[in-house]
Amino acid sequence: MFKFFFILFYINLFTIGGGYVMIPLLEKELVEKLHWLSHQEFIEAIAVGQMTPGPLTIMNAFIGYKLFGIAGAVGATISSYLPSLIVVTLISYYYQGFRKSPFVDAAFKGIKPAVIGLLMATAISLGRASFIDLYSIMIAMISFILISFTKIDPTFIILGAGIAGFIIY
Amino acid sequence: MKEPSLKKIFLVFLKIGAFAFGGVYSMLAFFERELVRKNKWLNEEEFSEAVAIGQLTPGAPIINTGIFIGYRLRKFKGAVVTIIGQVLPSLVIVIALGYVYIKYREIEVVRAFLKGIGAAVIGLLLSVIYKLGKKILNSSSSVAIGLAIFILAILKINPIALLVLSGLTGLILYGRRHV
Repeated sequence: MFKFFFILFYINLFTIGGGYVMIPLLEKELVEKLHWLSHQEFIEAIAVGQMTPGPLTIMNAFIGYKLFGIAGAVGATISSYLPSLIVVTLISYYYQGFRKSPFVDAAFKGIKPAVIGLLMATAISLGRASFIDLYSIMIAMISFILISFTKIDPTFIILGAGIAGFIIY
Repeated sequence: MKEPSLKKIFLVFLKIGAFAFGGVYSMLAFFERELVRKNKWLNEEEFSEAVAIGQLTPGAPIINTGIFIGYRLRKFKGAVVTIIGQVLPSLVIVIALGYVYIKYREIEVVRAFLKGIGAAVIGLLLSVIYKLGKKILNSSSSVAIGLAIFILAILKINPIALLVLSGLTGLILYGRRHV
């Protein structure tokens, strides 16, 4: 269990830009390296993170609950947000200097496109688990179009896809 | 500005945590309404700085924005209170969902439901890629970095190493003009 907390702690410490950046890292550690979750279970955890209010990273608490019960959920939450608390508190303190640093800015110009590359690789690896037939590919494409080009809340789209799955299967 | 009490900060962030569905963008709208317009703890400019800080720091941006605002209002205690407020409602819901999920996941009906959801999550990921890509991939060097990292990631190179590598690449490509 402490290994799990440690993984969350360092992933949260090294990822900037939110839950989506974390997805490839979590998948690598928990699914591919440690085999604690299947691809399918990992995808379900993302769906839960998206459907609940609050940040997507609450999916860590869901994974924690699944692996280790309530202690796992609470521990996962603490280890996910502790790095933020430490780093942001320090930054609030030294705020002006950090903001103006051209080096921080330049590094980000490299990191941002890299995040997109990572996400594409993850979408492929997760797609292999989720695309079981033509219907599932259609559901993914329709969700993609609705989420990208309309203002419908993704929560409803995921719920709708669940209902579609219920009808089809 | 009068210093808000810790309890008041907690309650406002609890409300944000409980009702802000639908990811970062809807949460930011919520933040703005509660913190800037209703409570007037920040002005628009301070708020957008807080959002930028959230994006530039490790971890969940929305949590980080909260911590930054909390620290500004009541130092370290304020920061802690914003995390608890934001996370508590979703933690409770997640544990409840987890309980139901483990109990019923093998049932046929639930399995069918989950298959649909699984496909939609891939659609969601694609749309995040699309939206981010439209904003970020605006030069040939950024497209090159994105593609290179995509290929390395498919080859199963450690993602943290790739993020560090891309940060260094950014420093080399864009850092020089400031010196």
